Amino acid sequence: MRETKRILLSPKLWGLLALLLAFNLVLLVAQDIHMDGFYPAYRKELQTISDLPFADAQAQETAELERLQAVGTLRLWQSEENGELKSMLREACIQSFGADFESKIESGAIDLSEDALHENYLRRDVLQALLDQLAHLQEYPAYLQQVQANSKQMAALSIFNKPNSFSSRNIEKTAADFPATVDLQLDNDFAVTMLVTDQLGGYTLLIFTLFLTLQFLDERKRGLWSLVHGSAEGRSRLARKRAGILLLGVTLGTLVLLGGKLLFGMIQYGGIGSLNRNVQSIAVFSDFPWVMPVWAFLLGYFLLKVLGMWLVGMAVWAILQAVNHLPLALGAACIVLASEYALFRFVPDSYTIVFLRYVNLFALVDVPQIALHYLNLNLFGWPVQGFLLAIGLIPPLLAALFAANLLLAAKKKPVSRQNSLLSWFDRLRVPFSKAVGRLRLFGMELYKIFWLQKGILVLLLVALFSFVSMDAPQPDQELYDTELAGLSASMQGPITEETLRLIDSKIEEYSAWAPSETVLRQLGLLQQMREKVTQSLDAKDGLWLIDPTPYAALMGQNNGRYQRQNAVVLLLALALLLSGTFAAERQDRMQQLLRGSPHGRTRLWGKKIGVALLLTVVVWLIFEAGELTLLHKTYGAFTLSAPLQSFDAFAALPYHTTLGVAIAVYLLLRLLALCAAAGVILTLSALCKQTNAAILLNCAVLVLPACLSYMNINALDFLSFVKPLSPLEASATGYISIVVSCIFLCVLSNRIWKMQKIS
Amino acid sequence: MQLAINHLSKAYGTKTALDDFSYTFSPGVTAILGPNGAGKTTLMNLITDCVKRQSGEILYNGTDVLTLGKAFRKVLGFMPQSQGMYEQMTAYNFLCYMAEIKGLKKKDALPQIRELLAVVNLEGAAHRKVGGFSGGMRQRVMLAQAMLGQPEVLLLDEPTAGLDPEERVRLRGYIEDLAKDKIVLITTHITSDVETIADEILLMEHGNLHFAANRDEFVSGCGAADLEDAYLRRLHAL
Repeated sequence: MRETKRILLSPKLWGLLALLLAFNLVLLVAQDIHMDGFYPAYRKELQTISDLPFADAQAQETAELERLQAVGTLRLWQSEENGELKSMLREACIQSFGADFESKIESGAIDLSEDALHENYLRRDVLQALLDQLAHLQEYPAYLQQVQANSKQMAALSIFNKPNSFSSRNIEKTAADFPATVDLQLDNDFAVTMLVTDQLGGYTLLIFTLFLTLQFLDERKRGLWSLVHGSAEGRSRLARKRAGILLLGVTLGTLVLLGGKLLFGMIQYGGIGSLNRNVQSIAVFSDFPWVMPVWAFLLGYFLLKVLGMWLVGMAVWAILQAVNHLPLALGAACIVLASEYALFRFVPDSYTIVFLRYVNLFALVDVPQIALHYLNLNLFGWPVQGFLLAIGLIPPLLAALFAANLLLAAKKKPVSRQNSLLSWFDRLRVPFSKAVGRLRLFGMELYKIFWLQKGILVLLLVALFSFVSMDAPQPDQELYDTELAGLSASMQGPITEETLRLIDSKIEEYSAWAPSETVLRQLGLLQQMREKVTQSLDAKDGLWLIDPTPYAALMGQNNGRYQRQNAVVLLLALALLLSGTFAAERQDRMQQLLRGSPHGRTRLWGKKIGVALLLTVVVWLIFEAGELTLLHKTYGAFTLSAPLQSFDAFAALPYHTTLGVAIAVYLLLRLLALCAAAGVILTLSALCKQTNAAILLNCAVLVLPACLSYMNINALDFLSFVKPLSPLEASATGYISIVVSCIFLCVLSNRIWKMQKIS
Repeated sequence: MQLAINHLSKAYGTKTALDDFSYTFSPGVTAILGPNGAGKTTLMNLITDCVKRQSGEILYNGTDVLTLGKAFRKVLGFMPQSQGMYEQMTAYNFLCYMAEIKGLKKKDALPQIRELLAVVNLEGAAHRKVGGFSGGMRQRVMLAQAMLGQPEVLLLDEPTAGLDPEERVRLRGYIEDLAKDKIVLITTHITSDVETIADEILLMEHGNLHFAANRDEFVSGCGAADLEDAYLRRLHAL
C-alpha cells in the first residue's frame, strides 16, 4: 500500500500529468484559434440538413456554396481596375445576380460590407466541411462495392488466382473482412476524429508511462537497492505490486489524458454526435473493416490504450531491471525504443519486415496509425490483419513480461562485476578526460554546459526543428504582386537596356496570341514591368528585377504565427540550454569552493557570460541556417547583391545598401533580441538554487508569454520577446531599450553572483 | 606571515555562531577542536569571505582580507566540509578546473595535479567520474584541490572524515611536511589526527574561543594522558 501511495500519489506524477494535459489542451485550442464562430455555425447548419437524404443535402449545400462564392466574385469585380478583366467579371456577376446587380448593391439588397464578407467566408467554410462529410457518406457504399468487385476481378487474373497462395487468400480475406453494406449517418464527427487522429495524445501518454516506470528505479538512484533486495518483501512480491501499480497508473493516465482530451473536444466542438452511429460514418474510418457503433469503438480504444501502455511499461521495466548499471540501463531502454520507433515509422508496406511495424511497442502508442490502415500481413502464406496481430499479441506478451519482471526482481543481484561495455567506455574516457583537462577556463565552462549539462541535445533538437520540422512561411502577399513576381523571377538581375528589350519581345509575343483572360492579364503585367524598368533606366538608379517572394516570406508582417512559433522554439531552447549556467553551481554546492578561489567570482562570471553568448549565437546560427535553407529551397535564391530599393516594399527607404545587408541587419536584430533573452535567463539562473527551478522560472517568464502570444492572447505581450524576435513588428526604440536592459541584466547577474553568501 | 583575527563576530538571526573571536595564526598546524555548533565552520567561512561578517577584522600580514580580495584568495587553499563538486566530471578534470579557477598556468598545474593525485592515492581513479566515488574518495579529491597552487594559508574543515586509517596516516604525514612554511588550520572531531602534527590547539564552544595553547600545554595543563582525554576534560570543565 505504501508503494502504491509513494508512486501514485506523488506530486511529481500528478504535476507531470497536469502539465501533459495542459500541453495537449493548449495545442488543441491553438489549432482552432482562427475558427472563431465556426463550430456553432456548423452545428446549426448540420441540424437543418441532418434529416435529409445525403444526395438532397449535398445538392442543397452545393447550391448555397455557389451562391456564396458568387458574392466573392462581386467583391473582385468591385476591386478590379483592369478594364478587360473587369468586364469579364461583370458578366459573371450578371449571370449570378441579374443585370440589376449594381442597383442591388446600392440599395443594400446585396451586402458587401466587411462584416457580411466575414460571415460569407465563415459559411463557406462550414458548407465545405459538411460537403466533405457528405461526399464520404455518398461515396462509401460505392467504395464497399468496389472492394467486393475488385476481389472478383483480381481473382480472375492468373497472377492472383493461384490456389493456396497468399495473394488469392488475401483477396478473399479482404472481401470477407469488409461489409457489403453499412448504415451511415451524418453527424458531428469532429470530437471522434480529433481523438483517433491525435498522435500527440499517444506520445504524451507514453511519456507519462515512462515516467511512471522510472519511479521503480528510485531505490537504485538512492543507493538503496541492496537494502530493498535484502528485505523479506523486496523481490517478487514488490515486483507483483509494481506490475499492479503500473496498470493502475496507465489507467489513470489514459483516463486523464485521452478522456480529458475527448471531454474537452466535446465541449469545443459541441458534442460527439450519436454514439450509436456506425464508425464508418466518419471519414477517417474508411479503411476500418469492422462495423461497430461509435460507443463500442471508444470503449475498445480506451481498453486497448490501457493494455497497450501497460505492456510498454512492463517491457521498459524489464530492460531497466536486466541491466545493473543505471545509466547503461536507461541507454539500453532508449536504444530499444528508438529502434522500435524507426521500424514503426519508416518500414514501407511493401517490405517483408512490415510485420515489425505491428509487432512493435509503438503500434500500441500510436494505435490509430495501425487501426485505421487496413493491411494484411503475409504470415507463412496466410493473410493476417496487422491490427488484429498487434492486439492478439498483447495477452501473451503481457504474461511473458510479467513473468520476466518477477524473475528479474527475484534473481538479479544488486552488486555484480562491472559490465564489459562500461570497461570499454572507461578506456575511452581516459583520453577524453585528458583532452578536457587541457582546456582553459572558457573551454571548461563551455564543456560544462555543452556536455555535462547536455546542452548538445538542445542544439541537436534546434537543428532537427530548423532543418527537418519547420514549415516554410507563407510570403506576405501585401508586399508584392504574386503574378508579377513570377515574371520577374524569369528575368532576375540588374535592370539594363537588355531587360527592356526582353520585356518588349515578350509583349510582342503575347500580343500575337488570341486575346483571352490569361493573355490579357499577362500583357497588363508586362506593361507594368516595362514602366518600372523604363523609370529605373531613366533615373539610372541601378535597381534590379528580383523575385521578391523569399523576402516577402522572410520579412513579411503577416507571418505573425510563423514568427511567434519560431520565437517560442528559440526561447525554449535558450531556457533549456542556459538555465543551468549559474544555478548548477549552487545545485552542485560549489559556491564555497568558488568564492574562496581567486578567479571564482568576477572572472568566472565573465567566462560564463561569454559562453552563454557564444551558445546563443550558435543557436541563432543553426536556426537561421535552417530557415534560409528552407526559404531558398521553397521560394528560390535570394538576390543578395541587389540594391535595397529593388524590393518594392523597401522602395521608399533612403539607405544605399543591398538586400543582403538588409537581411543581415534583420537577422542581427533577431540575434540582439535573443542575447537580451539570454540576459534574462542568466539573471534568473543566478537567483535559483536548482537548475530545474531555473528552467521552470525561465519558461514562466519567457516561454509562457511567447506561447500566449502564439495563441493570439496578447495579455502578456509587453513581457514577451516575440516582437523583438520578429524585427519588423518591433520598433527602433524597442531595440534601444533591449540593448539597455541587456547591459543592465548582465550587471545585475554579476551583482547577484558576487553577493551570494553561503547561508 | 601571519593571519590575525580580531574581535570577529557572526550571528545567524538570534543564534550567535561566533562571538568576539580573536587569535593570531602563525606558520604551522593549528587544530581547532570543538563539538558540533561550536563555530568552527563559521570561522572558516568568514576567513574565506563566504559569509558576511558582522564585526571584527581578519588581517593577513597586517591587511584586511576584504581589502586584499583576490590577492588573499591567491594564497588561500580551502577544503570545505561540504563535498560539493561536479558529479559528472572526472577527478582529473575537476582538479584541472579548480586549477583554472585558482589562476594556475597549465604547465605548472598539470604536474601538480598528477603529484597531488598520487598523494591522495587517486591515481588509478583519476579519470573516473567523481559522482561514482565513495565518501572517502571525494574527501581526498577535495583535499587535493585545496592543496593545488601550494597555498600559504590552508583551511581544512574536517579533512579526515570518511578516510580509512591508512589514508589518515598518509595525509597526516603530508600535512605535517606541508605546514613547515604555511599557516594550516584544521578543524576536526578526531583528536588523534592532530595529536602528532598540531603545533597549536584551540578549543571552541558556542562560538567562543575558550582555550588556546600549544599541544603539550593543552594536554599536560589539565593532567590528561593524551589529546583526546585533554579535549574531553577541558570541554567538560566549561
